[in-house]
Amino acid sequence: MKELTTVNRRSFLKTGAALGGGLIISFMIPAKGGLKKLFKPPTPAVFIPNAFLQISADNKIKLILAHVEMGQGIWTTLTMLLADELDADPKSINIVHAPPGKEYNHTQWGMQITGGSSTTYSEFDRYRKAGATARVLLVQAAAEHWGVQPSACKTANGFIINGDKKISYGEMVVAASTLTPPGDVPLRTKEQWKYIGKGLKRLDAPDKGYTNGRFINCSSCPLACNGRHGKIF
Amino acid sequence: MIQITVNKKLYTVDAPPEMPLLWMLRDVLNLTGTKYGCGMAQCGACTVHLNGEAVRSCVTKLSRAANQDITTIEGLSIDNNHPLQAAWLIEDAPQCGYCQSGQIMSAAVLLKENPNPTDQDIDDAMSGNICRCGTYPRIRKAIHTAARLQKEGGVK
Repeated sequence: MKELTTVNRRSFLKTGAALGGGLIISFMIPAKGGLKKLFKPPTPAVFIPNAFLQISADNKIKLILAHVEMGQGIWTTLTMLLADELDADPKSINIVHAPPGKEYNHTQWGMQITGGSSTTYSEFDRYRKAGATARVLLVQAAAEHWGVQPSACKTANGFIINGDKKISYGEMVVAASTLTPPGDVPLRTKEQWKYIGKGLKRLDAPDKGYTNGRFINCSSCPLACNGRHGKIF
Repeated sequence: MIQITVNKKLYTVDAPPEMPLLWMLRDVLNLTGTKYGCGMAQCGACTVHLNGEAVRSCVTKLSRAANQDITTIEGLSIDNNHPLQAAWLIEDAPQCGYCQSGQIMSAAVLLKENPNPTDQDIDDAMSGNICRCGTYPRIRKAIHTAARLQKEGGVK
């Protein structure tokens, strides 16, 4: 079941302020299945700390976007949120749209939905925590590997560092996968942000200026797919 | 059977002569970089080059394109290194992105015919390509940047 709700642009311009502002387009997809159902068995080894992030042994970082990029820029902003806490270059992160799943429900509206200019603020904590959880686990794995305290380790752009020792996130994914995720993780302070609040060019611009930008009606679909602006890359 | 050259490659296509070129590109050749917008030559999203001229592929029949040279966004450059594609990234031009391949194909004809366009030249040449996100100011800036890159020869 898929339901698309739109409002006439002109009546929206007139009434938008009263509604709270923002683009009102929603896709509602029923939630079902857990993470194991959503993703195929990984090769090479992949660390899946949560529904929003995967890091593979070959150092590929994948972000799963819980909302639909329609030009509003969340392809870039949610990646900045996660990158700041994970400590990785946003430009190195591979981004994909999430499949249907209750893990991707809107943090405030309780269903998988994109709209009302709500994505970045409603995901501000969840995507930062997703990155931070992974970083804490990777640091813990590296600390155990070296026989040092996690507090003696720091991270920098995809690497864990202890003194003159340095190891990539990818090398720690197998060990990190065996650790229990912490219940709560400390988040960086505003002063520590490298990407949030700073200018960053759109991460989806190359696909859109070249030929890889695929939209709903560019996919082969046995059903009649008429949606135009949802990006499916 | 219709013979057609798309991006320097010759195809023989089993399709009716009245089929819009856009359908052939997207549904037969699977070149989905060219977009379907309005189907009435009103929006420019489907712009491709026919013998170097910008045409709206949604209203161009296959019979007109037969035995002619077609270039789509996929064939505009090798490795996406056309000055316009480089400039598009420098100026962060796209928003939703849907109209952008049509914009770039129209701009490519403009820059070929007028390597130093003024703002007015750009507005005149690009008036047939609409963008609902309203990226016109960045598109105009990107075309100026592409003109500069083309002149400097830094990007081929």
